[in-house]
Amino acid sequence: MKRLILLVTVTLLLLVGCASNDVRKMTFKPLRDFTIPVVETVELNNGMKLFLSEDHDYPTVSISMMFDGGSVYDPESRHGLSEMVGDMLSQGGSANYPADELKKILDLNAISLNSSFSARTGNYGISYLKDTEELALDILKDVLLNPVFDEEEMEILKMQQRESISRRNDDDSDVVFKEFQKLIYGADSPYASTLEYDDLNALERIDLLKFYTYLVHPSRIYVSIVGDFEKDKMVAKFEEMFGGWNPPDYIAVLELPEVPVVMESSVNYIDRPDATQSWILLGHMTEFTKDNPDYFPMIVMNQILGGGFNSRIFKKVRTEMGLAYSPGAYYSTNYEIPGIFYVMSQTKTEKTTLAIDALIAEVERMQSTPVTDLEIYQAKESFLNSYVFKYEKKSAVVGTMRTLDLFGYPTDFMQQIKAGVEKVTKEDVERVAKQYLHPDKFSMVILGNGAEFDAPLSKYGEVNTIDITIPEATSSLKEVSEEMFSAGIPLFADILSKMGDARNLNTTTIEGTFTQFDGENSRNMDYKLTTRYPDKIVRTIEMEGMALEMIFNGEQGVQKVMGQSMPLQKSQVRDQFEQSYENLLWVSKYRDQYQPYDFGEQEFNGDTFKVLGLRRGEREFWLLLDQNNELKGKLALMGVDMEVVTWFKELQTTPNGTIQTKDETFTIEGVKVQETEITDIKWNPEIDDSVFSVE
Amino acid sequence: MRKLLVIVLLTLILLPISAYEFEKMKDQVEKFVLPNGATVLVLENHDVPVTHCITLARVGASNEEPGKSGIAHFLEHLAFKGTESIGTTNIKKEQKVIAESDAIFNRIIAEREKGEKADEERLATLQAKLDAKVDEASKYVVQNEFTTILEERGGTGLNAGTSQDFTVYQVSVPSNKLELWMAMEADRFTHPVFREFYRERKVILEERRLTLENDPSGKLMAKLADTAFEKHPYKIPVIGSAEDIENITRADVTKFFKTYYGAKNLVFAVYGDVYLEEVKEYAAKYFAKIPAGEKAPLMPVVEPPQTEEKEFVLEATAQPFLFIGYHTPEENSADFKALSALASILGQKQTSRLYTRMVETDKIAMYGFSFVGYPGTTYPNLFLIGSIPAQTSTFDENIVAIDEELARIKDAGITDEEFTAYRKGFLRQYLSQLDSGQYLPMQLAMAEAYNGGYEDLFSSIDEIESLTKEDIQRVANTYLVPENRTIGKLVPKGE
Repeated sequence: MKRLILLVTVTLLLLVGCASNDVRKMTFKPLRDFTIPVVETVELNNGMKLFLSEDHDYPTVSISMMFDGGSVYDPESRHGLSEMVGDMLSQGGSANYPADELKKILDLNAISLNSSFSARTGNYGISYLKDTEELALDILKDVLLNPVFDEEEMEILKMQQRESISRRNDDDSDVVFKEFQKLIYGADSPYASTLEYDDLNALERIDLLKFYTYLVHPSRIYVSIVGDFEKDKMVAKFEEMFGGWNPPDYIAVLELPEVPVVMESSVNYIDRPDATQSWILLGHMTEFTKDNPDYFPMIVMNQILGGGFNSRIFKKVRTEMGLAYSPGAYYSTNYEIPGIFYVMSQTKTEKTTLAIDALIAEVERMQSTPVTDLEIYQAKESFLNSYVFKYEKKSAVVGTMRTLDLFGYPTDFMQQIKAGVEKVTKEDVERVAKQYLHPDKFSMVILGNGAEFDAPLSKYGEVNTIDITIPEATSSLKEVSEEMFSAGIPLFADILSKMGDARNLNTTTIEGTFTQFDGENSRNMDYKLTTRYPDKIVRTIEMEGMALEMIFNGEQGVQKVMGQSMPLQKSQVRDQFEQSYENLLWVSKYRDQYQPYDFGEQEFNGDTFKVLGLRRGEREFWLLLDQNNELKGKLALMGVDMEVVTWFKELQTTPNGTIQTKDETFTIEGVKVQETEITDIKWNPEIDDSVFSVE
Repeated sequence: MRKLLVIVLLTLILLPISAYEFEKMKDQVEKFVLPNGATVLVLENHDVPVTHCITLARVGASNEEPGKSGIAHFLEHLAFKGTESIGTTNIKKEQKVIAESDAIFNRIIAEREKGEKADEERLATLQAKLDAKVDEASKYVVQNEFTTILEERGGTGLNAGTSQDFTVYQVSVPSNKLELWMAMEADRFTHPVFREFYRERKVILEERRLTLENDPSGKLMAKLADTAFEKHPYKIPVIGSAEDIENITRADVTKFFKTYYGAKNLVFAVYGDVYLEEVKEYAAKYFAKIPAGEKAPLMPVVEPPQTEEKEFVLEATAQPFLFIGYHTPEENSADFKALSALASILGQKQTSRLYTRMVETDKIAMYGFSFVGYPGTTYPNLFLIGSIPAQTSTFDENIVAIDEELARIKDAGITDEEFTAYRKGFLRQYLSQLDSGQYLPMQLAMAEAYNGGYEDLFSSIDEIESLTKEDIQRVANTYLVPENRTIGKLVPKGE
């Protein structure tokens, strides 16, 4: 166990002067010494790091886990995945605490569980009253190790996300900041991402489960624990809960995407014809991270330029010109990637360019006008004298320390900042203003009613009008014309006439084998499919002596393996039935439920086929026919977005229906994924209803 | 799993809400009243050498006279402009120019009062004269000196806020700067100079554009109060009407200040690394100089009972939003605690009735929520129910769902689980708030000013204890009835 005790005394500057009624000359005793809260760090064998600080003022405990890893690792086709993982982790229940029960338990015990993922890190935490500790820790553990990402909760969350997409243009400040981030980091950057309807629609529970396993690993978890607990007991409890957790670390081999420094001036306008007030944001990327020694003079420079009541921008734009309520200058520095410097203001429509000019002028003046003794004195004093507040809350001290550790910064970085600022000179401030501020490279975002501006924005350069219209969700269905639907009807009728008529079919049992291919490997399985049309199916798969049985009954489903039975998610049940409707027997039996259309001709493996589209609700698939309208195969979706072709190698036609008894399935690129062979079919057998029981 | 839930429930019912250390904390608060009537509250905490300082003035927007809306907030802005000795290079010359500028503005007001007959040319000339005087006055101004002195010496969280009921000034200082704050706060309320008046008016109008005019939900809330209240000043938003803000004079502000900022109307609270004796010493030295003034009486205006349902539609460039406001009694009334509990159980968490029904089950809303105490709590106010309807849903569907959920509570009351969860949740929320810097002294000052004494803050837990499920059911039946409500709908423009 490593013990890190920080006994740093903080002494604040003594102001010298003589006693008088003038508060400006008031003298003060030096601020009394105090010790920075003690933070203990402990590393578990699997790499999980704990940062602990006891605080017995109130009977509460707060535990917060920070994950190294966020949306920077989202796969390209699953935009928004880690954000959804973050939202769902604390909402979606766990093996021992199903989502709906978890919510009630948390509420009854006043425990709060939260989670979220941002671009670079994730957070998962719990806070509770001390008397519920045992329960709270059990929940913390079970949700972390066995999250379920409950499907229904995910549906609710998706609904809420869709709503918030539809409302994202309601708030002017949200709009300008979002567009500004996109201009700075690039529209596709995880640091400026915007979730769209299509992104949401593409996300499935299985993606969340996979990605969670991929993303979360004990060696990349940094835990802060603050409150009314005993350190040794808490550490022992963490050892017990997580010490034996040693999953493979998939992400360790990945490299973080680079963020190159790019600065390009541009003038961007967002039209808001109703607005009586404009929003102005001007800025650019900054070329340094927090570990650059120029970080310290930048703190002071920004304080002078736009950080508070006494700053140049505040005094000029608000106090003197009366143009805005909250103008200012800001810079975000990050631990690893370039940050952003920007100046901003709101102002009434008729003063828009006046305010822009005033902001630019102050930035330029920062570069050209010397910093006065008073300015640097006040800026440093206010920063240093208020530094004690950084140590006021133990949770903030512990939180900062573990964040520093995650990003590989020294744990005394807070003290380094203070020491660094103390040494900053006027010359330093003037130098960094010249070096790092680039008013000629500002990305400008202006939202407002341009028709009423005091001067056209074109005075700053070519104006790019940003269209903030929210893109509609793209339908997954093909675009089909009336003619194609008309032509589909006789074609479908012809196909049906050539097939056995399955309309009198009530039950079937089908037995056979199928082989799955995965690169060089293949797996052989026996299967049996028992169906009572249209809503009861039992699927049994046997492989190497092990049997897996899945029962689908209406909306319910259950999975049985080795005597254990587990309920299936509703979407798994739904998917099973949806896919069944893409089989020939179902097509024949439920012929009235399909909308056929003639999709013309398409070439596969050098042969040309006629394509008959069959649409049912929000799904569709395609039958492939030769020039004589003979069935040759089908094209369908596997999962959300993988198209596969199944070739019918042998067809069997009986008075009860037509079915392929041998088939092979390939990806659209021609990679074989599976083949099946049917060995026995029973038409309308007697089946005891109990086999479909999901109880 | 079911078994676990049952066990958890049982333990809860057996666990009473313990009073923890509240009694001890209550005993640690010290209160003294100066001869001029100023009340001072002190709570020592020597963990870290910082002190959180609060000044609460028992005056808010609801004290404003007709035609002077926004003046309480305007004054709060001007209270940062300094004093006779802070913020000026020459107070005599500055005062003279200030008086001259006010004389010009009075002529502008006189001209404006002619309405349509006002001479535009004359107005423009006067405005130019005024602008020149404002520039002249600014030569004597040391900009933002009041705040700069505090910030330079380590003051943070420097802020102020005006509500319908109260005005609060807050700052946190390194604990060795206690005397500085007390000296400046006394000066601010003894010798204030409302300088840079005309420029600050523009800033306030920008604030109004930001928080009201260009904020659709802000607009909806304002219109709800305007529609629900007939007579009471809660009708008007704190920031005031643009027209009133344009016409307020410095003399108006001075008059308002004299009426409401006497020592008898002020409560000071300090929390942190201070000692009672030093606070007493500095209070005698500084706060004692503030003129006594009078304690402001309660507003006599009584809102007549609402007798039939009201409804309005607000068009805006935004997606739909629904608010329903029911008239309910003031914070110091017997029913307020029960109404707060009702608001929590009905719509303040994911297990609430509205969320469960509207979001999870029916999926007709992105969010459904409720709270009590809009737009203030000193006088009878509104219990609000809000929803953000889903794109696929309608206002009617949302209102029906809300009404059905209300009916369920009115008919069958709330469950034991809901009641237990509310009490436990109240305790945890209460504790987490006490643990945050400026919040504790602010709550102490508010309880002292409005709830009969700071001790009230520590009795909340006991009051929750004495609440019954029947109380909650009863207040739902008493107040949440259709004839007592106003329905406000924000509808996207052009739909």
